[in-house]
Amino acid sequence: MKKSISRRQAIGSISAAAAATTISASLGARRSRTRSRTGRGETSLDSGTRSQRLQAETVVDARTGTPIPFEKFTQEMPIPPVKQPLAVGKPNAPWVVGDCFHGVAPEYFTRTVAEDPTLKYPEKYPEKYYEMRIRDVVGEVIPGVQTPCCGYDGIVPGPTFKSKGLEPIIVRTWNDTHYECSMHLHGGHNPSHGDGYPNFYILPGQARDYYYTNTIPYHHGVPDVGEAPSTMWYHDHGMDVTAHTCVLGMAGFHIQIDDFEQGLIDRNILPSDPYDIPIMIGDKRFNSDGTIWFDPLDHNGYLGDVYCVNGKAHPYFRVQRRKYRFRFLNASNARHIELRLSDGRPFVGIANDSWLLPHAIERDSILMSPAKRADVVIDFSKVDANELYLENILLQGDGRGPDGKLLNRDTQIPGVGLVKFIIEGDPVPGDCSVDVGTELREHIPILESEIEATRVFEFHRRKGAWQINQEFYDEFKSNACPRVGSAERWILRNTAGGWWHPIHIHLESHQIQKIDGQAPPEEWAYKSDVCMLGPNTEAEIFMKFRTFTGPFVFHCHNLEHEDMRMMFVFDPIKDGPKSNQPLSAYYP
Amino acid sequence: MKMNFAKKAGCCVLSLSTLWMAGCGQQLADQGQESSAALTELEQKNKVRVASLSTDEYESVMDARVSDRFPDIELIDHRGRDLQFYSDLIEDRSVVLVYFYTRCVGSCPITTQVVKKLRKDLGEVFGKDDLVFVSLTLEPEVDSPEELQTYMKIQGVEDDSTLPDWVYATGNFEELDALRKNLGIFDLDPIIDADKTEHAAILTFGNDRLDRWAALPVGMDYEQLKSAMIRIMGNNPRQRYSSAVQYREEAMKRFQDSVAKN
Repeated sequence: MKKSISRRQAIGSISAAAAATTISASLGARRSRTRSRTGRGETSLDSGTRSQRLQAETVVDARTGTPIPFEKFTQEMPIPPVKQPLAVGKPNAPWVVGDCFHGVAPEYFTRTVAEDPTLKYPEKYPEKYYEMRIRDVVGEVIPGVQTPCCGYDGIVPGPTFKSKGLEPIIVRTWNDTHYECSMHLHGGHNPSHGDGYPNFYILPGQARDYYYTNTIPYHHGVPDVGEAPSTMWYHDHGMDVTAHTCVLGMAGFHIQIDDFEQGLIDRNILPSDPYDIPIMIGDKRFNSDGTIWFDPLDHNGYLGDVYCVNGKAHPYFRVQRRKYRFRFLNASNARHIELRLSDGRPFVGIANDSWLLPHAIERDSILMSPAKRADVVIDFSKVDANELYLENILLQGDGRGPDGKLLNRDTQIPGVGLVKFIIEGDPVPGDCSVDVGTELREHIPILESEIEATRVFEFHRRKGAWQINQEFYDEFKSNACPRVGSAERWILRNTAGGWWHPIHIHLESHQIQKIDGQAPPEEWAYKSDVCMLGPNTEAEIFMKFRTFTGPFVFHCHNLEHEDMRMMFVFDPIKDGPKSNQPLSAYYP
Repeated sequence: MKMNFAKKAGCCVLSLSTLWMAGCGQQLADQGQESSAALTELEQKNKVRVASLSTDEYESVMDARVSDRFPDIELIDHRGRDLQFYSDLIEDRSVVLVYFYTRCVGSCPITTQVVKKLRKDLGEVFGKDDLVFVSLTLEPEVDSPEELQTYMKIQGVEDDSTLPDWVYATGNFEELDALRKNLGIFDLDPIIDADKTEHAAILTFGNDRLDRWAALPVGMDYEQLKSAMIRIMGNNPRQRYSSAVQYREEAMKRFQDSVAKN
């Protein structure tokens, strides 16, 4: 045991950000909250002081927050660059697919549908080949402060992948960091080898070829166009390190536009580029030296006090007086948010999680657990003022979750300003037509008659950790083995006391039938890939398991809980439904 | 066909003729001789993959570390020795920490058996000098050094110079309680947190020199707990990742064996 001069003595006493910090008097007092229990949150705060407060305020919590004062809304919100392929067209890969340490999915070579090998995956467009490197990088998140991060291609957010529907791609992903990573395309329909199973690593210094099919499953022998995703996102999923790597910035968008959605854009129904913008929101906390604060021993759930939007703290964004499509993503580890516009005008909601809704709906506010997405259209031509703020109105004090219950939350209005929209110019003529009620993507409901098995999963907290059905994640055991090609009913029951657990199931969408015995809110009534469970919530979902055999995971998407093994395995197999089987495959 | 599964599914029936095998990135069905050839190929592939991992030691982290916030409180161990928590047990070492109390009849007896096994298994991997196990009491007013010694005797934990040191420690209640919260071993619900019988059954462990820390539940699968701890605390790539790069046919077999026994 080395015992010369203590390292602590050598570098001086460092108090981590957990210690109390003194705040400059110019920041003003901490905002007082007004609580409302109606869920939609109505208060009587004076609007005259609202914009002053939103403008001047920083978000420092004097006790445990980021001790770096800064002025909000002084940085422009960046739009992540679109990832360009190295080559297009099979077999024109720039390298040999699969010729890397971690190889490629065997399905890349066969492409037959697991439940019906006479069928091949629907494909239409030539294959594309990408290469990506996960790297450490130093960037500016808080103005004037250098912050070490970790990002795909060394940027945060990572580059945006834009895929056509039915356009297969290979992404050779190198890991130039010192974390053992595993990349997950959240919302994607992909084989197990490249789906981000936590133990299917990209070891430091190595690469894995991720085969993203961009395909859709079959429904009675016909490609299920209702399943084509829109706003997906990719992020790290490595066992034990996910909470850390994600807060350091390992996340990006993957947008798929299939022929049908392209048609909505071409017919000027939905906004097109550059008025179709992904917006990643994630909370972080910083140390006084600008590094991102993170505690690997805190498993409750990371909460930050600085909201980073597309990699910048509380930015502004210039918009014209026209409609914009914003693809919101809550990329926080554990913070649930509820988005609202500062003048109270509703959003036009067009998508929930990865899928367009069957028709556009009006949404007063957008409740999002970690990992959820919501696409909305905001028509700035209807806004007279020159400024509008996107706010988070949801109150959350610790990793357990927001204050209140799932459908009855504590909110504050005005909320915390996330983005300041600066609205310029006259209304633009010839704008797209989408509005409340516009028909979007057809939805094919899963029928009760298709259900082949019912499973119950209870989520609870015991002795400092969380379990599913009184077990922890076992990477070699498939807890649920549906028959591949079938549909099942899953009951997700949160008995974990005051803890919120957003449950994400890989591979396919699920359809929420009931929340606590009632029909779900309309925005969640079609397809989802994250099922939000509040305290004591019980949700009933239908889900299909098509095209690929496993293993795949489902888990709480509070990343600290996920790292603590709050996760289970499902493995669609030919001779299901079964339970508790060895994995049908393993791809280290 | 409709089936209903209770939340704890019953045993599954496996027949040898449907033995599933993982490996070589392919799904293989076992049919007698094919299986042993495929197994040999798998073992060979695993050897190559493990050999490709370097044994060069990672460099120490010299700037800020997680342990910088750990207080250097005074402890007394079961031998009556005075120890400083940070300087003697944490700094530049690999350490496994667990809170317990001698009167616990809940999770502690199980935890003790798991840690005994880890002491032996991790001792073989890390050697006995860099790794230390520390059990910290939740009841210092009861758990004097003599009580700790009695407890260790009952649990079959011995001072053993061939194994990593396992220190049972007591001290000042407020300081131990503050340390516990500092280490993240607490429940946000103050009622649960105040109830010793509901104390966390987790192992908090890390390699201070390399600034890698994690905490995992004692009740998870032992082999996976062990390989996760080796991965988090490992000092070179081969040590960390040997288990991670292997096609796990043997693990599948172990699972099948355990199912067949039950």
